[in-house]
Amino acid sequence: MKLEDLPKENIYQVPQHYFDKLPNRVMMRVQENNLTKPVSLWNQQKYSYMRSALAGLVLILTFIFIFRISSPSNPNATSTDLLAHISDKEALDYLITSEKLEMQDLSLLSQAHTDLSHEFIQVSPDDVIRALDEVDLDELELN
Amino acid sequence: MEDQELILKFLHSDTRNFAFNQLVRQYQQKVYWHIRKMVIDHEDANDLTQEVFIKIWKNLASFRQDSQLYTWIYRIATNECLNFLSAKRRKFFLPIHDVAAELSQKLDTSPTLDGDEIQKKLQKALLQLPDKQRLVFNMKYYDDLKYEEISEILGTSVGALKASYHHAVKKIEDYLTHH
Repeated sequence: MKLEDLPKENIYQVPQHYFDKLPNRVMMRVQENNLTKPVSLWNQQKYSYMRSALAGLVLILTFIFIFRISSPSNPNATSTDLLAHISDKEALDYLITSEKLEMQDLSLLSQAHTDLSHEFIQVSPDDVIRALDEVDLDELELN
Repeated sequence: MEDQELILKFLHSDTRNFAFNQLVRQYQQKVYWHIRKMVIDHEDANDLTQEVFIKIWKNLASFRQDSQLYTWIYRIATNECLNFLSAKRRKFFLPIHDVAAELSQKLDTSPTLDGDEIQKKLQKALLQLPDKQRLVFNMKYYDDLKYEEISEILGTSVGALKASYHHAVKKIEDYLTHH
């Protein structure tokens, strides 16, 4: 049998009004697609890289900031120079709150500000004298 | 509306929806029938047709116009068909003849099918052809496309297409004679 002997026919059919409705269906799907457009794999990777880069940048800037505020403005300044910028009141507050307060600190303090002792020793002068009387002075090591 | 005008209107956001609606109306039948002849089933053809137009929507702005719009659309539709059929085979681990048998069965049972026995027999003969040869036959025999146009769509030389069509016709006539 020869193909040319057969009439060209389309034997397939579509539901009624199919081609009238198809454009609207396609437009609806296009709109849905626009509204809920998924982020492509490339975009996901791109945003992931950007997030990592941003986090790294923030970390570096934080380190730089901490280093700068914790570093002295003049790196050649000695500890004596630095202490000269600290007021006696601040030094006293530090010593009062410090657990490493030693006898020598107190002796130095009393030489400078004898009237300040009552601020950190909550006792009366009579109590101090009474306490000193009870100490055996021979056993004290004075450096 | 001319293809050039359609594309220009599509590129403007104000007229994009209108232009695309016109494009769908203009090409829906060509796309649908091209797909339907390959996948046989209406529901599959309907899904694939919609997918084709969504791809056109997504890519039309970057269409370079170094080919004609309808050959570009045909190429998208062709790729959708080939991907669908190869996915079908991968899914069920079917060799080519089993997919042909499945599609052939649809020809016998589909409610959206008309035509006399000889026309159904012709469709069954077509299902014996490899997918690409069937595409060539459909585009030449049913759609009356020139070999040059088919060449642009499939990226195959005109000579190879002529040989493919000639062999397809021979196989079909053999089938019609012996079945």
